[in-house]
This record gives sequence, structure tokens and C-alpha cells, in this order.
Amino acid sequence: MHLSLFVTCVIDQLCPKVGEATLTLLEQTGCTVDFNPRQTCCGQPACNAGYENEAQQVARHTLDVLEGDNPIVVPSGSCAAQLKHYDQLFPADDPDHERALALAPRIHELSEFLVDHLQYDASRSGFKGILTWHDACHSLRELGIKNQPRQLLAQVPGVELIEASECETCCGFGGTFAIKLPDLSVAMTDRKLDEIETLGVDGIVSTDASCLMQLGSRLANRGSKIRALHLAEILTQ
Amino acid sequence: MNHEAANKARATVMDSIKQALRNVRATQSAPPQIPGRPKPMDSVKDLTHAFRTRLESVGGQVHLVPDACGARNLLRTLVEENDWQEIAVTDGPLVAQATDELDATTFEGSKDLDRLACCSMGITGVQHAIAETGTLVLFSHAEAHRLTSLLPPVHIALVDQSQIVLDLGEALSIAHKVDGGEPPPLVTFITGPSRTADIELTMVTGVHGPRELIVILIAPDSL
Amino acid sequence: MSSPNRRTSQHNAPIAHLKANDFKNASQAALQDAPLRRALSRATDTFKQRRLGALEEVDDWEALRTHGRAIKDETLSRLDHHLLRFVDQATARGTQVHFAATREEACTWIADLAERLDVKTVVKSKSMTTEEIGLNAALEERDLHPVETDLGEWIIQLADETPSHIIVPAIHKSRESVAKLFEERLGAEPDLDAIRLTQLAREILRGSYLEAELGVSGINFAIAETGSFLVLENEGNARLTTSLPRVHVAIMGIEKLLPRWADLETFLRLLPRSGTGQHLTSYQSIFTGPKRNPEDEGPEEVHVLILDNGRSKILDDDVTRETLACIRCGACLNACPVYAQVGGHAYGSVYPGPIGAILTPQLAGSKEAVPLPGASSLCGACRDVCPVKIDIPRILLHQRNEVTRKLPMHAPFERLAMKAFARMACAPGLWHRSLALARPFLRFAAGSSLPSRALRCMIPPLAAWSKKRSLPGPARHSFRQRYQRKNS
Repeated sequence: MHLSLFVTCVIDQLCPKVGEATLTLLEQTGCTVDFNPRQTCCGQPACNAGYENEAQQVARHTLDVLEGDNPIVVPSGSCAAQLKHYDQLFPADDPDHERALALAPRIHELSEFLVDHLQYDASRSGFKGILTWHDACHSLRELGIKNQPRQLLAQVPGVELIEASECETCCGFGGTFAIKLPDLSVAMTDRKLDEIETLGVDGIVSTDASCLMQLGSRLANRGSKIRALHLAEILTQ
Repeated sequence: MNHEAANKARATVMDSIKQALRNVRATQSAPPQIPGRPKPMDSVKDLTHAFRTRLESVGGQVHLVPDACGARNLLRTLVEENDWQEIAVTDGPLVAQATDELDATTFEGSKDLDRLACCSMGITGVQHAIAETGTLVLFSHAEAHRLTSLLPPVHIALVDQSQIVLDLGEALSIAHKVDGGEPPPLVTFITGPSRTADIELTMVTGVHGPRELIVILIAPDSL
Repeated sequence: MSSPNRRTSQHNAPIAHLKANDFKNASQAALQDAPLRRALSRATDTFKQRRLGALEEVDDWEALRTHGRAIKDETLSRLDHHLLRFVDQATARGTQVHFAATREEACTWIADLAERLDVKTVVKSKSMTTEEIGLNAALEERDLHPVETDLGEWIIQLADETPSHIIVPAIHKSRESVAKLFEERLGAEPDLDAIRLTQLAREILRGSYLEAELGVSGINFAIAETGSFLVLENEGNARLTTSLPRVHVAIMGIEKLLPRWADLETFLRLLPRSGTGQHLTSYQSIFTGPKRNPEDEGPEEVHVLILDNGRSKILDDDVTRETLACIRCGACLNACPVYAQVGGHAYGSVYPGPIGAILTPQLAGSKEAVPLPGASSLCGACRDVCPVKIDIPRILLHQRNEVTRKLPMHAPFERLAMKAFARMACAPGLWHRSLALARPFLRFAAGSSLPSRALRCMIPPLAAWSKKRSLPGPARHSFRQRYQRKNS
């Protein structure tokens, strides 16, 4: 199968190794993967802050970059949801609305694609540790992803997965929300972390780079030993 | 507000609604079949059991008796045990039967508000009961139980097994046409005692209405 | 926590006591209030759990939600027709129906009625609509004596505060603070427990019911087919308010209507489960006119006051119309991670939480509630729990767009930054070159040295981020650079 990778700006700039791990995973299954270097950002920051025109501009650029008909894999849930819902940015009579609708079914979040389309076998991962899964809001609620990552982690022999009762609660990031209302944002993060610290886990795993940035930054600030890890990092160990 | 002003307000509101709806295409009528009924209860065939379980789960007390005589005996025992002196009653048919040998003063609650406000207990009948929810259904045109079921600290309701219907839908559909093809002025559903959790979510019963709801259920088939 | 004072009501705003533009400060204050946050977290957790328990009993909750929403959509799409039908049917059964276009009109109408009836004491059962119009303050200005009878509302009235939750108005108050309030205002013994406090309320309020000649209630659902209306409650105070006084006035927004009597079945299954996690609240009263011969009990006059106060404007908006489908269950408040941290008062509106964040700007105008659409991480938990499937995040987003469009002077730096962001994101060369230049700078800023920290403090977004979070330094080389190097 031939795939395209949309690596997302956060992974591109902050954690390129996650992008490389994603690439490795996909290639392990025999897929060929292309990466269009003209890609930038999905435009979510502008969209969520209420800058519709700016969000449209970025969406048009990304629609150009992602022209084609092969599946596109995104190692981040909220970016995948943004790409999948580009049609909501354009009025129904706009030609880009049509293009956005054509793009939507090609967009796949990583864990969903690995499980539902590649029947990926995660048992070869050598990762060892106790983990808990964070259901990123957009993965869970916009894309309906719940079981796929858990299924993958369950296949890894060295992983013990412990569920947090607050696994579906927002991490507090929310895009510009995290900057505009920083104390509130961190209070929301702490609500999750307070529980997770009691679970005795080594890491919080997710496939949303922004959530991981929020959780990881707060964990570091709290002086915690728990790490925020991307699923691709676990599966490629 | 005078009459003219009232008419003006009505015209203003209705005009802005009509204006707002100019471009709204009427959506189709709602699907006639009502989904999402409760899961079939184990005891769905046994309405009495379902009613009882439901009402007890929200703090109502349910006593089963075989017949009117049993109801009378139980009531007498309860009155003695609790030392209830002043008892408000209604004109309901089951009520008269059950209270004719009581060792306490009875009076019609709806006729004497001052007495009702400080009596020890109120006895009423009901028009129906709902198995799905453990609910008593009271129609105001059928019995004068509006205040007798509400003001005293204890409400005893006399229910006959045959009055129990399956679910909310059935009860509502009876209520819709019960008073000469009309709903009565007041339909009251009662499911448990008066309760509040407004202070730190601590459940307290008897905040404004009865702190105890006791149902005497005449159920020859269940005993 | 700053307790919003009732006396500071803004008379001109369409919502009484509106202070929504103060969200940032008010939420900041709430975050410092440890007892408040403990109370909130306990309450919202409890309600979330109870709701889940109550849903399990229902055969097909999703189908029930869909059905409820379809009924609401049907109602809204022909609201004029249904309202007129309600008026006709209610009038035919002896109920007097009136309209009010604004909150002032509504308050004046009720106060006029009270004067005409020559009453002094007005008992009230819980009604968000009367909170919206600021009825108590308006009645007090006319020397009338309104008495809230819902325990939570009464506590709030004694404390001279505003409710902080749609269903549990005094959710923010501890038992200790209520005991202290009762001691100060009512001369109660000190440190009473919840049971004694409740008993005391019962004794005092009994007097008010018997004395009052006018009872004011809200309406949960009104039925066009029969001109009836329904009130749900647990305490029995609404039953007393609508049974003892000679006159009963019920107030509702134009959207509270249902077309048919049979529609109640669906909403009686949806509302209590969503609100308090009960399969049914203790009491439902369905009113169809005043007492009829030969009834001795019940009010002689029943009035329904139908309020617009900005609702028809919402009806006019394709995107946000679904806001009017709300049945005020409060489930979105309990589900919201923002509400759980800051509580209702932070929103500065009688309608707090996610539904308040979308409803307040629509009723009051977006200028009166600029921060509210932003008071959300757009997590979508509210949409999941909404019994009528209102897409609150979608409306929040729409309102954020509205703020940036209608208020061009709002957040000038953000506006510039977004323009620059979009420009760069559409020009890959510029994007990657700029980020390559920014990375060393940001790596330095993320460091732990003193100059690094000083630099962070000078750049507001970095300062905001790093006050309680470490700043993630970017990688030396981007994924793109590493990919291209590997593949060249």
C-alpha cells in the first residue's frame, strides 16, 4: 500500500523522532510512505481561536499539498480531526468544500490505521513498563478512537496497561486556551495528573502530540518521573 | 400592564418569531414511535414487583396486603406504633374503607387547611401507579388529595394492584383524556418522599413535602 | 471566591447580574479557592457517576436522544404555530396567557399583577428564567417580598448571591458556610448539620407558603396540544408554591414548548437522568388550568407568561438555533472540565458552564460576554452528555469567529500573530526557514539558565506557558530536515 504521511507541525519541530518512529512503523508493514515537504500545519490554531479566514487559507494550502487518492496517516488525533473536517470551513458552494469532502475519507489517525487497516502486530515491541492511555479529546470524540491503541498496547509483551478513571478527561491544552487561560489550563492538567501519579505508572501514552506536550511539560515542572510518550515511540522500541 | 400593552407584547414577540422563521424550512414531524423505553425488567410481567422495587429504591416504603381488611389492620398498627393523633384523609374510595376503625381523629384534609398544616399524617388513594418508575399518579378531578399528599410529614397512599400500569407512556396516555376527554387541572406524579441534596449533596428527606412515603398495596395476586 | 452581589444588577443588560466579561479574573479567583474546588469536584463527579448509572437502565439512550432532538427541531421549525396553539388551548382551559418581549416587561408584568392582587409576599419555586430576568430585585424595588422556596435558592437568597449551577444553585457553598449563614441571618444555633438546616428551612418556609397569595414557578415543558405545562422537582416546594397561593404565575421562554402531550414521555426519561441521575425526580406536576368545580384545592387563577428576551433572535440564526433545544438539565456543567475547576460564578451569568457559554452571548450580545466562547478547551464532553445533542463546541467555535469578526480591536496581537501564521503556513519555504531560525532561539529560551528564564518572561505567550509548565525546546533539526537528509 502506498501512503502519505502528514507529520504535523508539533512533531516536525518538537519531536521529529516521533515522526521517524511513525515512518518506521508504517514501512515495517511493507507500505511505501511519501512525505511532501511542502506541508506545514493543518491550521487548527487559527481555526480554534476564531480566525476563520486564516484557517481557510491554511486549509487550502494543505488541500493542495495532500492532493491524490492514497491514504494519509497522521500521528496526531486532533490534527487528523482538523483535516477530516475541513469541509466545515467552507460554504457548500465553495469548490474547496468538495475537495475537503474528498480528502476526509483518506485521513487516518495512526493507531486507527495500524489496527483497522494494517492489522499491525505490536508484539515485536521490546518496550517494558507500566503505562496508562490518555484518550485525546479529538481522537475519542471526533474520530471515535478508543479500542485501537489499547489493543496495540495489550500486544506488547513488556507493557502493563493501567486505566485511569479520568482517561477521557481533557488534558487542559485546547490550543490558544493553554496560553490565554494558563492557570486554568494547568489546573485541568493537574486533575488528570493527580490521579495518574497514584497509579504507579512509568508513562502516559497518547497519539496526540499537543496533549503530550501539555502533559509532558507539566509533569517536568512537577518534577515527576512519569513520562509523556507517543504510541509510535512505544511500538518501535 | 394594561390590556393594550399586553396585546402589543404578544404582537411583538409573535412577529419576531415569524420573522425569524421566514427562512426555516419546517422539519418533518417527529417519528411517531417513541424509542428508548427502559430495558425489559426481569419482573416486567409482575408489575407489582417492579413497582415495589422501583419505589423502594428511592426510599419509598411498600407494604403488601391481601385485601381491604389487611389494609385496615396494617393502618391501625402503623397508627398505634407511631402514635399518630390527627390524621388527614381524602374522599377516595379505598380511604374510607381503610380508615373506618382507626384509633385516631380523622378529618378531610382539603376542607381544613389549618388542621392539615399541623396534623401527623395524611392518607390518600391514587388513580394509578407506574411499574417502570415506582410512581404514584394522582388526578386532581378524581380525589381531593392535592394538599393531603403534600403537607403532612407522612403520606400514606392506598393502592390497588389493578391500578398499576406498565410505564410512563401508558400513564400519560390515560391522563391525557381522563377528565371528560381532557387532562385534569392537575396531574401529579409522586416517586418517593420529598428530598433535597442542596447542602453538600447530603440527601435529606422531608424538606418541604412528606419525609416518609408509605404505600399500602392491596395485592391479592402477589401473596 | 468573590460572591457576586445581587444589588449590582445591570439594569440594561438582557440578563440580570451579568458580569461575563470578567471571566478571566473571576476564574483566577475561583482557582485560588480550595474549598470551592473541593466542593465542585465532589459534586460534578457524583452527578457524572449517577448519570451513567441512570443511563444503563435505558434500552437505547442514543435513540432516545435522537427522538428528543427531533421533537425539539420540529417544535422550533414551527414555533409560531405551536405557540399560538398553546395560547388557544391554554385559554380554552382557563389559563391566562401573556407575553413579554424583554426582561423589564416580564418583571413589570409580574409586579403589576402582585400590586393588583394586593399581595406582599410572593413565593417562588426554582426557575432559571426568573433568575435571567432578575425578578427578585425587580419585585423588591416595588416593595414586594419575594421568597425563594427551593432550599438551594433560598440559601442563595439569604446570602445575597447568585446561583452557580442550573440544578444545584448552592453547589459552591459548604455545609459550614450555610450553618454560619443561618446562624447570622436567622438566629439559628451554631454549626447545625444538613438535616437540622433543612428542617429549619421547612419550618420557616411553611409560614411563607401559607401567607403568600401569589406563587411563581418556572416551566420545564409546555404542551401545545392541551395548553398544559409541567414542572419537575424533588423537594415539593413547587407543589406548595402552585397549590397554596390563590394565584399561580408560571414563566417560560418561548422555546419550552412541545407539540404533543405524548412527547412528555421522551423528555421525562431524558431530563431527570441527565440532570440528577434519577430515573424520575420525586415530583412532576402537570398543570392544565385553574381548579375546576367541584375541586376545593388549587389556585383560582393560573397565568402563563411567555418570555422572548432575545430568543427569537437565536431562532433566526441557522448555526446557533439548536441552542434553543436546551432543556436545562445541567449535564454539560457536570461534564465540563472547565466548570469543574472554576464553578458557575466565574462565568458571570445565570447560565454558566458550556450551555451558558453559548447562550449568554446570544441573549446578551457577544460584546457583553467576549471571553465566554473562549472559556472552553473544546474537548466536546458537553456534546457527549447533552440529552438533545446540542453541538456546543461547534457553536463555541462559531462564536469565536464572531468575536474576531465583530470586534476588530479585540486581541490585536493575537490577530497579527494569526495573520502571520497563516501567511507563513501557506508558504512552505518561508515557514521552514523561519522556524529553522526560531529553533535555536526557542531552544535557548527553554533552558534553565537565568538569561533563558529572563527571556521567557519577556515574551508573553512563552511566559504564560512556562509559569507552571516547562517549555519544550524544539529539536535541533526538524523532521523535514532529517527526512530530506536521509533521502537525499
